[in-house]
Amino acid sequence: MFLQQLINGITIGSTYALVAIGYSMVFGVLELINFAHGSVYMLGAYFSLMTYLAMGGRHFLLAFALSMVLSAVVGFSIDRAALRPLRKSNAPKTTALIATLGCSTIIENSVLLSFGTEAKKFPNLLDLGYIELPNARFSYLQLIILGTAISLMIGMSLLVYRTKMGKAMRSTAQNSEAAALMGINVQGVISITFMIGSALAAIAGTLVGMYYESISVTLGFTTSMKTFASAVLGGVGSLPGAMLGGILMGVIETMAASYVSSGYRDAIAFMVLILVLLIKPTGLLGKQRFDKA
Amino acid sequence: MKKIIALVLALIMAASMLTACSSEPKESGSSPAATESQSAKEEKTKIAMFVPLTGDFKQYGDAIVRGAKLAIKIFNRDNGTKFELDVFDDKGDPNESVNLANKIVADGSYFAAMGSYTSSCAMATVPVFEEANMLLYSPTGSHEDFPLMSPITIPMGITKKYDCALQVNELVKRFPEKKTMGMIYQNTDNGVVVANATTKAFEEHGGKVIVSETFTPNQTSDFTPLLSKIKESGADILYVESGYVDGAKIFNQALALGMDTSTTLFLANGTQLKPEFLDLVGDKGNGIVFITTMVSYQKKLLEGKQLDPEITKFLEEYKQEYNLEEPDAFVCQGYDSTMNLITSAHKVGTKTEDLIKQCLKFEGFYPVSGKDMSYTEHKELLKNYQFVYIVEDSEFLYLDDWLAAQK
Repeated sequence: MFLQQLINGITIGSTYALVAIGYSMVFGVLELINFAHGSVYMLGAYFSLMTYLAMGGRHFLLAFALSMVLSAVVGFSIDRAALRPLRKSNAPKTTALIATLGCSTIIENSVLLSFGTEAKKFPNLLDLGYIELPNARFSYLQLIILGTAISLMIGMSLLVYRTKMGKAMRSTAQNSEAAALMGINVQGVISITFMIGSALAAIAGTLVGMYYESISVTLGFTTSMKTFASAVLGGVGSLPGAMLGGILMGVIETMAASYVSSGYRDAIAFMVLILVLLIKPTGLLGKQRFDKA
Repeated sequence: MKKIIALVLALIMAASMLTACSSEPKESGSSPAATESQSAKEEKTKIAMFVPLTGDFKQYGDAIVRGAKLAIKIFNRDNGTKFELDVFDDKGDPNESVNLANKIVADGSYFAAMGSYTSSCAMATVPVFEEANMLLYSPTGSHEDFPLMSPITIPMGITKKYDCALQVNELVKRFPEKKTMGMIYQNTDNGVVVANATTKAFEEHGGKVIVSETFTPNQTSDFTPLLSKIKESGADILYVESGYVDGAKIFNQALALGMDTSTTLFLANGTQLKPEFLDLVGDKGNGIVFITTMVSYQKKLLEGKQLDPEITKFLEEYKQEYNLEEPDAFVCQGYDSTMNLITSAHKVGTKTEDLIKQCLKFEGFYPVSGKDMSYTEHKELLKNYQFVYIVEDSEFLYLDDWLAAQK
């Protein structure tokens, strides 16, 4: 059973990691906890499903791409409409944090009004079968989710550390005023970061929707807390940290449910989080935050 | 000068608030007396219903309201009465239910309250309605403490301890070879009661619950750790006590882990008996069994069946009213509870004590939410008939019909 539970834990951890990477992207540049990220993740799943159904249940890849674009537009809008004015007026960070909470509520209520509260069946188009092991089994979709999380982590790390855009992001993170003086379009960098983070959320939402074969408005809320905890555990702002934190969170939660008590699975996972933070307040890979590199 | 004006305004505000505060309880406190004096002249005709119309339980609330409104419409038309139903949204939140209960009582124009979908919400409001001596009829509340909490509470849901015992009796009768059970239940008041009552009944019949796991409803997405334990234990039965969304996820994940309905009996509780459950499990749901007192009028179930004319009439009225094919069990419970309430009020008037006595007789109308129903002396609802369904090709079928077709 241990092997199966480990696989279960890594899978659920991969779903946390997928979302946590987006959290970390935004935090890395703005040092802002974007509470709307979970809602964009849920919205991304709805965009994929609704565009797919609108096209008569065909062209899923197109629907998926559209969902990423639409989510990126939503991410841009959140920054443009709610956060940029606050930055201009030098509002404290907590104000921006509350603004993201407001955006989250607006998105969730809009989805409720547009698509109803009932859970929607999400087709698993990557139902490619299972790999059987002596005491365990896992699906190809689980592998795809893990592979996607690792690829995104590597891809985003390359973007941040190896490209001009990444350099601009890191400069903005370190000192936005100095970055602006150096000719960097700071507002543009922040908008692009939001757009990338939101597109990543759409990827995560779509894959998780396929894995659980259903989506509902509560998807964002239920995942937000865990993914935020994952990002903190790994070290907020660190992309490899988000990946590691997500996987660890998933494995700890699963093992707690399996070997201690299913009723206390979340409590145990958060206790471990607190313990880690007491020993290492910056999180496991906190020192490698790209904004302080 | 500004300070003086501000002070005067503050005093006026404080005075007006105090007046409002003191007048509110006076109004609610005097309502029973006012009710009596009014009832001598003319009976009240309004019922207040509080159910979730938004949030996670919206589907259930909507269904209850459809049933209740249909009952009001049919009864008024057939009897020339003028009963009215005002519906309030409690969002499935006990705090919101209590706020609404206070509002309903303070309003003074209602002779009874109905609600909510969950026992937790209904139970939270009991002190408010008890103080106002107003009947609280819960269309779906099935917590065993609810009918015993107060003289003013009546449930339309079968009390869980009886429901679970009946369900297990039927389970043991139908599947005598299934001796061990792995159970997943919601970590709620109701879920814990069901888990305990089912375990007790199953073990009294010689079975054994070898794994019993809990989860937080509408917050847990991944059930694989719990299911892996049950799979490892080799339990003959996977019993899931949950809402339909969580239930569909659990069964889908059980199948993904390699559990199989041909070797393990997938057993669902009545709350999942909704067409939406079938949409979510899709064609993978074949073989999931429901043993429940809850009724379903899905088209496939009615094929070739001789229906009681009253049921046929109800189904036609429902279709005509809402342009929907199949009322689910929650529509039926909303209908029956409302029909019982207004039939009783029409017969004995709206004085709470008389109304409760009459409601408990459960007579004067044709119930559609089950068979062989009655109230015990402790106001607990009994339903002495179990329906056994199986899922096949995204439809509910009677197990007996399905077995006959297999032969």
